[in-house]
Amino acid sequence: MEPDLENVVLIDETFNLRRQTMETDAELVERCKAKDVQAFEALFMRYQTRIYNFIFYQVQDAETAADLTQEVFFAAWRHLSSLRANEAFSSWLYQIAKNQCRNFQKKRRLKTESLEKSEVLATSATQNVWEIPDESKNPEKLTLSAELQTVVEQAISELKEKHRTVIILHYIEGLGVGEIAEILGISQGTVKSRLARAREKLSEKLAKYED
Amino acid sequence: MANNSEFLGWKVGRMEGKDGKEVEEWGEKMMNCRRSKKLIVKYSGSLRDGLKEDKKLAELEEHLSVCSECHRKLVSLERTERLLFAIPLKEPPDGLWDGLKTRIVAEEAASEDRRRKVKDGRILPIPRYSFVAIAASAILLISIGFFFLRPFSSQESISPGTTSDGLSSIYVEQHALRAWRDPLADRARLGWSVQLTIEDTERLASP
Repeated sequence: MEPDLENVVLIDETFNLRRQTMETDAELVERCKAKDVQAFEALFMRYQTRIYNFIFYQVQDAETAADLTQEVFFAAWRHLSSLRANEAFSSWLYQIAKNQCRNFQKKRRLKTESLEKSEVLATSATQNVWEIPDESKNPEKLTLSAELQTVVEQAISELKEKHRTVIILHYIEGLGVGEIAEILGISQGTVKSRLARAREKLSEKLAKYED
Repeated sequence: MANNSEFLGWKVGRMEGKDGKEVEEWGEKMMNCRRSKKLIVKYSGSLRDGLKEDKKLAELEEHLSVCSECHRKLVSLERTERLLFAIPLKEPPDGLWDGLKTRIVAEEAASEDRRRKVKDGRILPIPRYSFVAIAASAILLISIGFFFLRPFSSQESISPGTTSDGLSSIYVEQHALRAWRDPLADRARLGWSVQLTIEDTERLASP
């Protein structure tokens, strides 16, 4: 009886996929160092959303964020051999992303765009159309309207880089203070104080939208 | 609820000495708004854990119960935090991996091709940090050249009739002052040596 090759391939792929999702970062990195593209794909799938969001909230542009995300992973692939501690892959990846964003911001200062966005903010403030919903009615889950989300994202983009970074990592990506400290190479106390300051600034910026 | 940003209440109590006797009446300032706002910013919402076991938390809560302005600030900060937590993660566009994989495969093919050419002897292998090494060597050579090619020709010949004062001043001019300008010079030792030279010259010149 002839074996069903199509099914064999499918089972093999499923097995590989399951194995990759079970493997730790360190194990996958070790395989990547031996030029295993499949292992790198698994790492990419694991981190692409986080890195993409981290970059998106820094540059405020989907297309640029996609390009830079690709650049980050490509740089990671090329320089993987320089990563000494395999288990520190995620911190290392964020550091590459942070540097990519910084280089991008240096190259292209979005003066005109930020001016336009400030006008949008000012208009919305006078019209007061995007009021922050009273979450006391639904404290478990606060759903943002698209407009309000734009306002909050814009407010985040107007923060200083060091404040913006901790806000993205803590509130949007859900990382703990310790993880952020490791990624940014600063103390946990500094992370906390940056978070506090950034949140205070955001609160001031969003105060006009409160009902 | 009072709206008093200058609120400075006093708690009055008694402090006990080692022998259990009351030694003095004492007063403690109730937390004012400035301090309260600092603590609210620092410890409200998800950052509150840091104050859980702290006595400052009780003081803060006491203050918040009487100060509407600080209470409003707390509410505002916590609302901002809820807004931030509500921002959903954005989905990256499809096909990101495909584009990346194409680049990776091309990169690997190029390096493989290069390795093969090096192996066949068609191109010379360039070490990874060769450019850095070349630059460092160039800087080193320039520094060495600069050190050896410094002009020493300014030395004046000493005519036979030169007085002791003249000899001292020539020495000071030609050696000591130049050495003095050297940033790594031991100035104390130089001063001492100049002094000795002057004394020696004077002693030899005297009858």
